Amino acid sequence: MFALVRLLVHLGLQSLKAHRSKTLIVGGLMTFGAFLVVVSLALLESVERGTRQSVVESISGDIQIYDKLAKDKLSLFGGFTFGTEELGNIPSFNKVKDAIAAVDNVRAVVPMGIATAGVKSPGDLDHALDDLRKAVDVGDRSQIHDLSARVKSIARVLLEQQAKQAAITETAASSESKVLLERALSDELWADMDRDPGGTLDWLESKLGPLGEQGNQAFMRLVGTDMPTFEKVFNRVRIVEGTAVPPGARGVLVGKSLLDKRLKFSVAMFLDLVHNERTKGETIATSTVLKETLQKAQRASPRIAYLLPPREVPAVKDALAKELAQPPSTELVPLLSSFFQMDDANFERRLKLFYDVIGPRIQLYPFKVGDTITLSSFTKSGYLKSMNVKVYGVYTVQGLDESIIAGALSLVDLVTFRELYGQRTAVLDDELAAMKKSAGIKEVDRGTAEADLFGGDDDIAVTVKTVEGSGVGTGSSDPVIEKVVRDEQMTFDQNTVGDGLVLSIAVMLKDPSKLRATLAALSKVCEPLGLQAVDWQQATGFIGQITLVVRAVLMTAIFILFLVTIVILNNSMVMATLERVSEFGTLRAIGAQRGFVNAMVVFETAVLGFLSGLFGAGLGVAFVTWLHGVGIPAPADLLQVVFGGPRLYPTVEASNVVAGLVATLIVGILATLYPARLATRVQPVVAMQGKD
Amino acid sequence: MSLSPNILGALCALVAVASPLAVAAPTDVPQPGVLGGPPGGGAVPGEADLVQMLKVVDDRQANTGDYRSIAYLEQKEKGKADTAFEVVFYRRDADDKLMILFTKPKTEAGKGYLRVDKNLFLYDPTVGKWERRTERERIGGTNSNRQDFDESRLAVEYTPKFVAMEKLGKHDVTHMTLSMKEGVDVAFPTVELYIDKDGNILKREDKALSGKLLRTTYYPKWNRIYSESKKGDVYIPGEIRIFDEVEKGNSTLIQIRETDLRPLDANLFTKAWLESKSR
Amino acid sequence: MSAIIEVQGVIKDYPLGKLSVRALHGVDLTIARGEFTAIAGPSGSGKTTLLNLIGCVDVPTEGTVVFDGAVTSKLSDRELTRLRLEKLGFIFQSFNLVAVLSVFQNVELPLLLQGGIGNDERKKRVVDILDRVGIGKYIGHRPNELSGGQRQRVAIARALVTRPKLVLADEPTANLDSVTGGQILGLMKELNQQQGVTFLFSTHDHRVMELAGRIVQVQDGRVVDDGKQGKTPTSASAAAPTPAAH
Repeated sequence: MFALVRLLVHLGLQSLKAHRSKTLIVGGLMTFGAFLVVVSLALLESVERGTRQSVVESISGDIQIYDKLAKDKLSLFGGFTFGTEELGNIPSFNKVKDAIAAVDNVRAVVPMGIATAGVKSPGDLDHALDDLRKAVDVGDRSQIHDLSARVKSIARVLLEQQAKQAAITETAASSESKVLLERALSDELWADMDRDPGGTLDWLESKLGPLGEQGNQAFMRLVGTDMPTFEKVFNRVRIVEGTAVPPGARGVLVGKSLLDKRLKFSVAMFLDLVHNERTKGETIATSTVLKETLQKAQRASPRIAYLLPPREVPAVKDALAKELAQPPSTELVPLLSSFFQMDDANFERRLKLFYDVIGPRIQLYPFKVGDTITLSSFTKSGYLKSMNVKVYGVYTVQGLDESIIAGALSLVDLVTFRELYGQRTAVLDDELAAMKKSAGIKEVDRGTAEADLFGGDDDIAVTVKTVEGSGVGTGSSDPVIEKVVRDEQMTFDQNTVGDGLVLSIAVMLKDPSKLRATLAALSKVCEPLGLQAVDWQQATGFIGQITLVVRAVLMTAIFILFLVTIVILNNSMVMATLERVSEFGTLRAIGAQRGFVNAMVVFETAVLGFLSGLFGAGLGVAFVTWLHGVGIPAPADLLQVVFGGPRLYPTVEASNVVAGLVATLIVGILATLYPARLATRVQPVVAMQGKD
Repeated sequence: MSLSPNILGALCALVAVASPLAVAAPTDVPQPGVLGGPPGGGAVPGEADLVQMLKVVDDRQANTGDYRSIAYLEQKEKGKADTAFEVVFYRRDADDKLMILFTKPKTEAGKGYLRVDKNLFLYDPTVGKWERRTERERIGGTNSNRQDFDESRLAVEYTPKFVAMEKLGKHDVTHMTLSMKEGVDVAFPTVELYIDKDGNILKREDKALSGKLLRTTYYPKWNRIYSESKKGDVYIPGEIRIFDEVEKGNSTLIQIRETDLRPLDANLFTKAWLESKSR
Repeated sequence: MSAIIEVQGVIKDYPLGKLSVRALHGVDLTIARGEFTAIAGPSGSGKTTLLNLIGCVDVPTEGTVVFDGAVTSKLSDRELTRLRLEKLGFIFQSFNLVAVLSVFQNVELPLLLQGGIGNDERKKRVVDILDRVGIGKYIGHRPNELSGGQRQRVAIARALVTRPKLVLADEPTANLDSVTGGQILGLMKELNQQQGVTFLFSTHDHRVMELAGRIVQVQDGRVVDDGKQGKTPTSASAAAPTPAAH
């Protein structure tokens, strides 16, 4: 038996040798096919591992559980309905926690909820006036001095800008501003400051204030969670500054990329951008975008002048003057302007100078670790809620430090989250109903509004009496407001934090390879609890889906390639079979069964398939190994998440190689089925015809 | 405030008596009402006439002294539950000052807006912060705007142009287009104004600079109240219905009541006063 | 006189489009062990058809062909193939060796197909038969390295290695020059006389006629002379004594 097989293999090999070109073409195709399968599976699996690391180990867990009745799909990084998803709710985490944790393969269970809040950074002038008012309230003389100087600097800059504007067009408004700015810079005003700080501040805030730049608002996507548990489970989250939020404390961990890419001092952000592009190979000389960015930095540079405390100015001026080879007596603003005329030759040096000399002396970020910031959110109840929260630290996701998506989520405690999420309560509903009732307004439909409101015979104007009351002119008939409790409760009872509302639950598994089975088991448990379970790819919306899409595309491409290979292989085999009719006939005549002839044809292709498969797989392994050494750069920020870092270092697994071999063999065998059948149909009679 | 109080007083009486009669009269020809109407009733009013009309409109609503009312605001938004507020708002037209204090619901109590000159500040007692807002601020997130609570300055802020005499329900109205004057900062650069013969604004359509219609406001009820300091009547809208024309289905209702024209606290219009309300 | 082949009343029709062509019109024939018989007849006489039926590569439309006691039309394709393997040997005019196999492997092939024969036994039998046909020296060569006559020897070896009951030779000398052809025929006659191998030829070659013990004449689908009466002398030809095997 074995000898027969050896014969078949030998026959196969010999036949391949005999038809060199055919062998090369078909073999080449199959080699390429095996190569493609190995490489694409390796890349795909590497990408899946990368995405897993980025996403699973930093926020989503292997499985996410949320309300069965949610109107929208869970999408942790934000779908297209930014911040307004309806995810239903899970009224009490503690009630369902144990049932979920009891399922086999579950390692950890983390409650979470997503809310969007805005954090405002006021304009420089308003900020300075605010701080000045605070300094006046506490009587901090040195701060008053510094901040007064800052206000004056800003006023000076504004006056210069106004003068430039007036040179072009003179308007009533702009001459009014000039008067105000001049008064703001006058000695009398600042003398008044000592005498009557309150009044002066009022004047500054109401007259000078509107002339300053508007502040802006940055939106933060917040994940509210049980911080201690989160920290333990999601160990790819790395705190780069500050500390974790302690148990029982209300606090926020801000994403580093959010800080650096949205909230940082504008001049610094511009410089960072240019620096990043230069490391990727761009040059200032050849890029209009970089030139424009540097111009923006230059235009914004006067801000540095007034953000620097006065006592720091000499050191900065010295450094700049030295760099620019100008006398140190030069004014700061022109020095800054020249300094920001950067090109490829001086950029790196000046960038370093900026961060060494200027950066530490000004506030690069609107808040720093340890500050208390105000988050405002439009709650589900329909009202705006603001809360003070302490910034405990800044975090990134290991390996994804550069990606905006990784830092796009900021972590906050559950109590703060619940307030900002602001579910509508029955108490509120009752209060609103009472208000509505006492107002007694009738509903009016938009379509019939004019007819309803103005079609009647009632007078438009009705005489009413003024409100009478005791006492004159003290507003004693004002409604009394209860004392408002300032939300200074910065701590809470850690033990009860699980009793309340969460929006979703992240589940980490012990063995991720058993995800499908565990998901099924969890779904069974979730169903009666009114919950649904989805895997991490579904829970991260678009990002998780990328790998699925890539997989689908790749598989389709490979499938098509194999189809083509089968067709070509089939054709050439059929032709070969037809050529060898007399050979088959002879063998049949001398006693070879149909099966033997069949096996002959199949073996030939099997041998070719096996060899090409080996060769192709070998090439694939070599290629992926080379890629691993080099790394595939992620051209877009989004791909960084998918790659698990700025570069993808793919690895090839044994299963990929096996898949490549098996695929090639299957292709080979499928292609041979028809020609083999043809071969067996050859009548032994044919042999007897003889050749001439 | 160029029309003398005497005429106003007389006309108020006239209107009180004449209004039932006015309804019965045919309204093809614009009746000479408070506004005087174009002489002869048929000619198109010129710009000067219109400016005069605006002045009357402003004057009717102006008060020389202080002013305080309670307002109920109800906000409807498509696909969401209704929200509502109760506020007390204070005005001192002589000094161009406005204060809005939120009293209900409990979660909003203590918040407030303070307008000083061209500045609008918002205060939140729960976080103890003041914030600068713009002219375009939506009060409490509703469709209402600062100017819906503030003194009327149409003659100062806008230039009018006559459109037509029209009918609104059973009322004859003068329809004019108002365009923002240069250098003025208002929420709505273009306004279609519809005033009745007495000078009550019945309807206004607020538009953006591009001409896009942003909101339509109806004033179906005006309250007339006698002012000691003015020695005349002050007109205050009793009901304002604002319909959002961009997000259709959104609307705000304002009901104003319990007006008090007596003098207010001297230091009411300060940040300190608002802060003290919630401590 | 044990009959290996018994052909009785055999009729063979071939479909040709919508019609069918009758190639054999009722043939009776018996071939016995040890015969060295030629079947002669012009092209289209049905000679090839008859050979196909005897060679068990085809079955009759009517009548029976009994090969060593087995009625061929009653056998499945599998059984017929087995029969051919074990009891028949074929020699073709174009030698029909497997070009990619060595001489040894070509001859070994039927034994492998048979199965049940150990490695050593197989080797022994192949080497023996190759020696017997005088081609032992070329055991490792490929067919394309051999002359026509050598190839035919290999073919004979392959046909004989299974010790068949009957060897069918279809124009075995047609592609050989006259000298080589004579040598081949001599070899086959030797095998017949010394080892009693039964040979059945289909041929035009007059030398076969002379060597044959019996000549069966086929014409128009019938056996017109089954040669039992003895040979009818064919055209006289000086059959020169063949020189030593090539």
